[in-house]
Amino acid sequence: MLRYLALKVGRALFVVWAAFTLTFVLLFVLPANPVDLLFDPAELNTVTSEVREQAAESYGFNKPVLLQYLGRLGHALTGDFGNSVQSGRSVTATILDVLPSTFVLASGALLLALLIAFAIALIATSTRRAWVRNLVEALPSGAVSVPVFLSGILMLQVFSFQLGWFPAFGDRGAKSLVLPVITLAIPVSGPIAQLLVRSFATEFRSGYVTTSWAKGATRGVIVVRDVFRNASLPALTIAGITFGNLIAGSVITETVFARQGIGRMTQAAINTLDVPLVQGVVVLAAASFAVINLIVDLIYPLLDPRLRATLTVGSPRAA
Amino acid sequence: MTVEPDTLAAPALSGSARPGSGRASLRRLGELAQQPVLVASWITVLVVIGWAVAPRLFTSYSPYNGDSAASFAPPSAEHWFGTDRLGRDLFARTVYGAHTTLTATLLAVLIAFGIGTVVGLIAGFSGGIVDIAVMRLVDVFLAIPSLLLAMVVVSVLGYSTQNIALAVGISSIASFARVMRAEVLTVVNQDYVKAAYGLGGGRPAVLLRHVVPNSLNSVIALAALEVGTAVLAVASLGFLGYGAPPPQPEWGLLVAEGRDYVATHPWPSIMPGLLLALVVVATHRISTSYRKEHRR
Amino acid sequence: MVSDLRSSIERAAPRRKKWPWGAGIVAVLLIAVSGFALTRGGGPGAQAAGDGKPVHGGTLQFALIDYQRSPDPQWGTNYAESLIGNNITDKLTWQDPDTGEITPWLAKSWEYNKDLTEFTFHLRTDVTFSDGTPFDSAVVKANFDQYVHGDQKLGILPNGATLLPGYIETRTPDKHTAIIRFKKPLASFLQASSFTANAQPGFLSLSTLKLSAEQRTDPKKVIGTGPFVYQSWKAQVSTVLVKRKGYNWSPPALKHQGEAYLNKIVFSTIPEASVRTGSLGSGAIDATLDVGTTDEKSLADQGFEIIHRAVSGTSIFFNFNSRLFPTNDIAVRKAIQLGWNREALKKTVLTGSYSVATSVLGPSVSGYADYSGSVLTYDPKKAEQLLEKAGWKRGPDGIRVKDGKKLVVKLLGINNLVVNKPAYESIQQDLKKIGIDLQLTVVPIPDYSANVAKAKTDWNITAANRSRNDPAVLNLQYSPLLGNGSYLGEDSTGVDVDEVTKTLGRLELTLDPVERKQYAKAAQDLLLDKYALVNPVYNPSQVIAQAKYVHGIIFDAQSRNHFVNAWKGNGK
Repeated sequence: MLRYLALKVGRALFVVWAAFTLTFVLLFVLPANPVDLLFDPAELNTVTSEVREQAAESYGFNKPVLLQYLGRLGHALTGDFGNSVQSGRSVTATILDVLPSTFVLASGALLLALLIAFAIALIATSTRRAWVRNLVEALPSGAVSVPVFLSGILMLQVFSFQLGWFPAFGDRGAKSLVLPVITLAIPVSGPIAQLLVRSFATEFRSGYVTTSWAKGATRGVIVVRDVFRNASLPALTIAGITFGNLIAGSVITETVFARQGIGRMTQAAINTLDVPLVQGVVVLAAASFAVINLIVDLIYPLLDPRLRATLTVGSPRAA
Repeated sequence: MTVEPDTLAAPALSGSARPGSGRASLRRLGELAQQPVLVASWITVLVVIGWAVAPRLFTSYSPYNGDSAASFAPPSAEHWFGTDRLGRDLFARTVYGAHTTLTATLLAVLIAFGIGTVVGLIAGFSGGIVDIAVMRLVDVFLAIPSLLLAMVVVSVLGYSTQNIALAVGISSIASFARVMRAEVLTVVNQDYVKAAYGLGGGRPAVLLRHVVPNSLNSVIALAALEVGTAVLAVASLGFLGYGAPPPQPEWGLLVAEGRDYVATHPWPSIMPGLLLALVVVATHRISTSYRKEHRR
Repeated sequence: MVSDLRSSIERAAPRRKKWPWGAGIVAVLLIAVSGFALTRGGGPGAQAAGDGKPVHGGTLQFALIDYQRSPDPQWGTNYAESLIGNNITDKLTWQDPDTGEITPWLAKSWEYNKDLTEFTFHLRTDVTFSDGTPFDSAVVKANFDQYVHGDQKLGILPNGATLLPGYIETRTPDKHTAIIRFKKPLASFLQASSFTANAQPGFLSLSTLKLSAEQRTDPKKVIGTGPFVYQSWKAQVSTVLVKRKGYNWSPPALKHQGEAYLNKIVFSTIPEASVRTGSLGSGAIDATLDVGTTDEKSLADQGFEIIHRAVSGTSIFFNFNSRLFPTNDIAVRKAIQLGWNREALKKTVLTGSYSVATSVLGPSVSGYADYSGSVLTYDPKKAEQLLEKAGWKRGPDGIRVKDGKKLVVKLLGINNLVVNKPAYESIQQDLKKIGIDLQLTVVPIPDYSANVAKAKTDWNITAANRSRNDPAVLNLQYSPLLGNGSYLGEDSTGVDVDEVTKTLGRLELTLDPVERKQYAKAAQDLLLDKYALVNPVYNPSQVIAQAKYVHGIIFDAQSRNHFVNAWKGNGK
């Protein structure tokens, strides 16, 4: 078990390092010079070369790329990601400032998305009416087929501007969370629901269910007891994947609802080639991703007796 | 009480689940007639493919030249979807946009599905060091927000719908690979696969006859979603300011650019948006029925 | 209103059965929205306007698209940064937005030498920073020194280096006299001393100047002399300013006595156009900048007031690359100037708040001349003749060809203004008719910047504008020695580069109004007519929609806003 744990943690660390490195490479592949982006574009041709050099020097952009990389990596190991090129503020402070707001939004949306997904999957699996099942099974694809910004804007038109139930922008307590959470949850619920519907159905057909069926269990009991537990495994996998969707979705949700947050900040940082800030965010994202997966990996064997069996034998298959 | 046969069917032990004889096709056609939703889905998809192939057959308006006198005309018998700011017929722009949108979608799905599935299959089936190496790489790609990846790819390659599709496809490879691998692992541990080994099947045979067909279900489901995701990703990037060069029409971009006028002139974004939703739902419906066919 | 929604849901209900759910939901929303558009009107904007006497107190909720990346007003390249900077700092002079005249502000009076290399400012004696320290010549010197040179150790960029080229030093003969010296004549410096747009010379306290870029992100430590002081700053979300107690030095030209009327201003960043408009309609905000062109009419119909001012400086221009095929051919440049329908642009894209460009300079800049009757007119026939004569023949697809090469013109533009993309598309439509294939790449600002760096070899046209209410903006933008907007060089066929350099350079040599006007005319003649180096498109505007009870928001000479004189009729 200890070896299993060490393996997982080492893997998580690798992911974080690789993400850091890959981002650095990607940003340097870009056909743009971060120094250019510090000036008003209309004035760009007027900026003298001395001014450019001075700007490049104060951010260390004139050093050899490898040195820049090593320097940043060294500092990053101590938790120091430098200062944002755009605002001059320390990256850590900048991120910590906006993190809670995104965290609340994302976890609310994830929770709601899981509720929706499980509801859809349960109804689709347990109903006996074909048309209900067809309708419910169409929901996930319906959910992902409307652009997030459009559903957000339309919801605002109705619930904020016409009915006045919720504030339209900013972050003013629980009430201003309702619309953004729904907006973000809808597209996120789609893939999860789809996967659940599929695996619930698969589980329903598999041998042990048939056995329970033969033993005289009712449909509802079967769904809850057997199918639910076994089909949750891939759902956990996709929850990890969903993490990325949440970040991408939060960029748009935070923009539409004018909220402070990691998503919007990341977009601005990428746009302005704010290398230190982008790296801070990527490391954060990679680390959170690694931790979520670590947890999933640790829960996996507990949920699935088959994997638990292989684990005790010591097979690396579950890695 | 009637229970649908497929929900109670035992796992496909034989694996030879392919209909295809003439009699089966006839039977399918008969069944199709009993499913109006499925028929409607097919019609939707076929019509849209028709738009992409021969837009001229479906509209007499030009998607590029507007009538400055008819700026923002609401939907009417003359302009089914209304007109945009420059007085261009939105239905014509949607019809002509089908080509760009469908090509882009196909590209994204092919990249993500093709590469992702193969990678996941290799990892899941071979196990050991190969599995570890491949999956660590996949992890890294999953850990970097796909939006970042997409924006970088677009910035490097240039602004075009094809490049955005490429970006979306690349950033989805990892999730396909991961789902595929999880499925393969589950399938490999199923009793009937073990039984197949026991009956003397070689690895390639087992792989092709049991593992691939039975693992693909979840991945195909994901691919159906990817169709929608790809178009929407194009729309989202358009929303964030990255898009195909004007005046080329593209569905996602039509929706994204129309949103600025939504309070006063909702049709430029809502009409293409509705169509987009309709096509995604129809595609999904077809893929579901296809999957069920192949289960039997 | 609730019943409206219910009935729209009922209306939508039968459809829902036929359509898949996702689409059904959208349909419900769609119908609700269109119902909403019809039933709105007579919103809070229609309230009584007050009796015209300023009311003290209240909080102004103001929305805009951009946000301050840092509270430091001397660093900044967007509207939010310059606009907020203008309200926490003051400048040496105030430029009258109507006449363009430079009038006193922190400087009571000034004089300059004949060469225009030395400018002496006599400062007001009663001005203090919000931390109580006095504003004097030492402050001016410290500010200008850091503004031009930056400070490497503190991480401060040389923000003012482009505004004050050739700055040598500031001399301080006494506490209230500052002499600013330049290497070369700089007539435009007088206007620069009032400059209110990007990277502006607003004065910061000595304690602020000692702070690093990082420390300046604490808004409470950024100290100015302006009518408002920072209360808070949240990147990407909002900036809150409160009134400065004891402020009594707004520009005399504004005729405003004492402190600002408002207690507080909340600047909220709302990126989405429809959300800004909707929030104004629902009363969540009192006024908003960056009003979408299509929303202007409906807001006015609801009883909101639309105020606007064209941005002074250049119009939105298509700068031709004079070295790159095919814009190295003057016939192509002239054909583009003549080849697009200005009426259609006006009708479909622009509103009453905007205007079609009639010169490369905006009409509010002194020295502006009108070219709408000569080179800047829609004459497709003449454009085609010019092209034919220069050897451009129609190809099979309608696009002209010469020596086997197609007439493809690649344009790089910015999508920051809502009008840009549709305006360029309108021109694209028209040019296609005369056989020119204009290819558009219209992208966000950072990507534009990244591409401008390669414009010399990659782009036929760069489309942007520059706000600077002084005719010398032409020298800054087009002089081969400075901005070189048309990439003039030895291989620019048919252009006398020296002539352009000299003609434009003269704008920096005199402050005599009559002479300057002549020089400005000569410069415009060269750029628009003789060498046709630029195709001006439209004059960008800053447009504010405000509730009827909001008064006194000022547009300055660069069309940035000042709130010292603003008040709310309801005083809330």
